[in-house]
Amino acid sequence: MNNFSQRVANLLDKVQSPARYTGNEINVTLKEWKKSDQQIKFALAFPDVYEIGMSYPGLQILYELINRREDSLAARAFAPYPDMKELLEQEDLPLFSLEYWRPLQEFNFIGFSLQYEMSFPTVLQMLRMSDLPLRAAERGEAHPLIIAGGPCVFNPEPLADFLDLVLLGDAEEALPQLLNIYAEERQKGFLKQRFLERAAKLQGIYVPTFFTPHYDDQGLIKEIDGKFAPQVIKSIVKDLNTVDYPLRPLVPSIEVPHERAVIELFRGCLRGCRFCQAGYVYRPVRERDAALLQRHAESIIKNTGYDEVSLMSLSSGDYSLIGELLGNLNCQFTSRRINLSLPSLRVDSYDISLAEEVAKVRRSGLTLAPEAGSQRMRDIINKQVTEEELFTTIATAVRAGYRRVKLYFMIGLPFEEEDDLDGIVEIAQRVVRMGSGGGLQVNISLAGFVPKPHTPFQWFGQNTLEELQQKQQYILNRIKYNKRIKLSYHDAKVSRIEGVLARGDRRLGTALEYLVHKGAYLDSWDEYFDYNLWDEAISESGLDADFYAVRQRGFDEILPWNHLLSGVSKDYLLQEWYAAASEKTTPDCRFASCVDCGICPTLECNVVFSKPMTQGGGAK
Amino acid sequence: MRYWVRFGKLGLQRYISHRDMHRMVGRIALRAGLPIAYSQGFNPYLRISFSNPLELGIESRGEYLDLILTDYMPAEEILTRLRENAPAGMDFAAIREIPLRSPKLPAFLTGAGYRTDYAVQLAGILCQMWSKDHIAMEKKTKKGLAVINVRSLMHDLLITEGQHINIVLSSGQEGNLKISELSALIASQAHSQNIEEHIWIKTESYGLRDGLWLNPYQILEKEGDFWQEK
Repeated sequence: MNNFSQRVANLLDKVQSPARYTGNEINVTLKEWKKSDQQIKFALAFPDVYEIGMSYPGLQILYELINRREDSLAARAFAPYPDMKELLEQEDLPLFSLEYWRPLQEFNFIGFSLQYEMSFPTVLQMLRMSDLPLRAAERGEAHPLIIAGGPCVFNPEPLADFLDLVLLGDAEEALPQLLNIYAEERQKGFLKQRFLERAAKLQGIYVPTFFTPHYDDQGLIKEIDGKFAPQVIKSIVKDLNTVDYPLRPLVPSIEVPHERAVIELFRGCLRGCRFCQAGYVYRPVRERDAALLQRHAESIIKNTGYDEVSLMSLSSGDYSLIGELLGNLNCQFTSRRINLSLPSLRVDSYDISLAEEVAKVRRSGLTLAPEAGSQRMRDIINKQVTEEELFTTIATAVRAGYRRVKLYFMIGLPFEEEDDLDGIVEIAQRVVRMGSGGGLQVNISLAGFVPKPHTPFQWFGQNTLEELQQKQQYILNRIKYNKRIKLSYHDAKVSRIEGVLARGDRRLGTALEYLVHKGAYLDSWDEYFDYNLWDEAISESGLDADFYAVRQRGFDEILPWNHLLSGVSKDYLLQEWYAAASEKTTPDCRFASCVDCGICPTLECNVVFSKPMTQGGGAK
Repeated sequence: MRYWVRFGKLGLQRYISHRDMHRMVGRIALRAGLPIAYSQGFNPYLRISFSNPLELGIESRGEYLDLILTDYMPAEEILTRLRENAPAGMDFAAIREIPLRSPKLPAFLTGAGYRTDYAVQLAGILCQMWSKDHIAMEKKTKKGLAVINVRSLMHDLLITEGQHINIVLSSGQEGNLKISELSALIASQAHSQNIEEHIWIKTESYGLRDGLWLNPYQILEKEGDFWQEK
C-alpha cells in the first residue's frame, strides 16, 4: 500500500461508518491504473454522501457506460461525512475516489450529477477539497475537466463559471462521443481549447465559456452571446431498447435508502403537469420493450442478490403494458420471494389490482401526490385528478389493508387562493374519516412551490418567504387538533433559496464562492443549511434574492437559460401559462392528439411504446 | 441441510458492520444461486446466522456462518459458489455439514482468539497482566457504568518469541472483552512507557470444552453425534 493509501487507511478507524469510503462492494469494477495517456480516468462525483449517491440509479448507468470501454475507467467519489471531512482537512489529505483511493486531481474528468439545487455549494466544496481551482478560467491544461449532468443542468448558470462542460439530456450517446473526441485529441497532443471546441459541436454538450451573458442597466439579460453557435440542444436517446442498461449494478455494502434492482421502464412523461420540470425536459416518452425489461430484471436479480425489483420511471402506472409486465414479473419472482415495487404512481392510473400485484406482506403506506387542494387549482397546474378518483383509490387501498396514506401537496402555486388551501385541509379530513374505526393514519406533506426553468411557470414570481410561512401556519392551525393527521413541511427558507438558484444566472457564482469559503457544505441537509449565511452571501455579492425568486419575469425577457433548449418551444410554454390562467387543462398527447409542444419535430424523435408481449421473444 | 462455513473478513471488509455483513452474505448466497431456506411467518427471512459480532475495524480469519438449504448441494460446490460470488476480502474458506438440530453458534462460541506480531514490550505487559487475579475496568452496562474484573475475560496467553502473541478473550452475552478494550487496558498498564500501536487480527472463534478452547469444527467432531440424536 502506498503512502497515500496508508494515510487514508489510518483515518478509517476514526470515522463513523468507514465503509462509506472503502468501496470494494459486490460488482465493483477495478482495472489496472495505467499511465495517463493510455487511459481516460473519469471520477463520478456525487455531491452528497455515499448513502444518497448510491441510491441514485443514474450513477450505475454512468459507471457501467464508462467502465465498459477498454480505454477508460470510472471511479466514484461522494461528499465525505463531516467527521471525515474534518479529518481530511486536519491531515491535509485531498478528496479521494472510492475505487483506487486516488486523489481526484489525478483524474482526467470529474463529473458531478446535479440532482437538486442545494447541492451546488457541495460541488464547489468537493473541488476545493480536491485542491482544484474553483473557476474554469483558473484551471489549466493539467487540471481535470469538470463536467456536470442531471436535471439541474437545464439551468446550470449559477455554476457555469466553475464548469468546463455540461451534458444536457441523456448520457448514453453523448458521453461516449465526448470520450472518443477526448481520446483522439490526446493522440494529437492535448490542447484544452481545441478539445472544448470540438466537444461543443456535439449535441447535448454545453461549454459555458463559449457563451457570454450581457446585462442591461436594469440588471436584466440583454443577450447571451454564443461564440460558435447560438444555442445548445439536449441530447436524446430516441430508442431506449438500443442502449445498454447496467445489469451488474454496484451493491452497497452499508445500508442505503434504496437497495433494490431497478429497471427503467421509460424516460419522459407527457402528462404535462405545469409545475414539473422533468415532464418538459425529458420529453418525449420512450418506453423499453416489456420483454426486455423482464430480462433486465432477471439479470439484475441474478447479479446482485437483491430481494426487490423496482419499476422506475416518472409515472410507472402510465407504462403502456404495465398490467402485463407486472403480471409476468409476478410469475417470475413471487415464488422466489422477490418483491416488486412501483414508486411514482399517479392517482388516476392507480389501479388497486396493480397495488395488489405489487404489495406483498409489507403493506406499509400508500403515497399519492394530488399536489393541490381544489379542482380549480389542479386544473391550473394541469394535474388531472378528480377528487372522486382520489377517494376511490384511497378507499380501495384501505379495503386492501393499507393503514397509512401519505399525500403530497404544494403551496404557493400560481393563482392560489385561500379556498385552495382550505381544500388541502378538507381532503385530509375526509381521508381520515375513510379509515373505518379510526384506523387510518394520514400524513400530509407540504412543499413550497419553486418555479422551474423550461416549464410554463418559469416566469411566475415565487411566493415570498413570509407568504409561504403564513400558508404553512394557516394549514397547520386547521389540522393540528386532529390526531390522525400528521403534517410535515419543508423549511420555507430552503424553498426560497431553491427559488433563487433554480432560475439564477452566472452572477450567483460569486455568492456560491462566498458560501464555500465560509464552509457551506451539505446544504440539502436540514442540520447544515444556514439561511443567514446564504442571505449574507447573496447580499455581499451585490445581488438581490427577490430579483431571482420573487420577481415576475417579463414574457419577452431573456432568461438565463435562453441558450439551452429542451426541445419544447417557448411558444408552447407561454400558451400553457395562459391556459393555466384560464383554468384550462391540456391532455396527454399519448391519449389525445398532438399538443404541438415542439419536441418531436425539433429533435426528430417520437413517442416510443413497448412492443406487444408476444413479439420480441415473449415473456421469458 | 445445514452447514457451518468458516470465512475470513479481511482487508477493507473489516469496516463493514456485522449487520451490513449479514445482508451482504445473504446477497452473496442468492447470487450464488444457493437454495437457502426461509423462516416461516409474515416476514420471512433467510436462514443465515452468524457467530458473535466482530468488532468493527478488526480483520478476522475465524468467522463462522450457519446456513440452512432446502435442497441438497455438495458442500464443496456450496463453498466454490460462495467464493465465486464474494467481493474481495470476504474469504469463504471451509465448510462442514452439520446435523439439523445443532446448537446455534453464538450460544457456545464464547471465546475469540486474537494474534499480533511479537514485541518485547507488549509481551512483558501482557505477562504482567496475566499474573494478576484482578484487573478492574469500567464497562457500560444497561444500568450504567460498572466496574468489572476483566482478568476473568482474558484467557490463554501464548507468546512465541520473535513471532506472535496469541490470546483468547471472552466473547458473547455471558462476558465480552473487545480487543480495542484490551488495547486500551494495555496502554494504561504501560504507564509512562510509550507503547506502539499493535494490530490484532482475530484468528478463530472458540467454545470452551473441558478447559480447552475448540473451534466449531472441532466441537462438531466431539459432539456432533449427540446433536443428531436430540
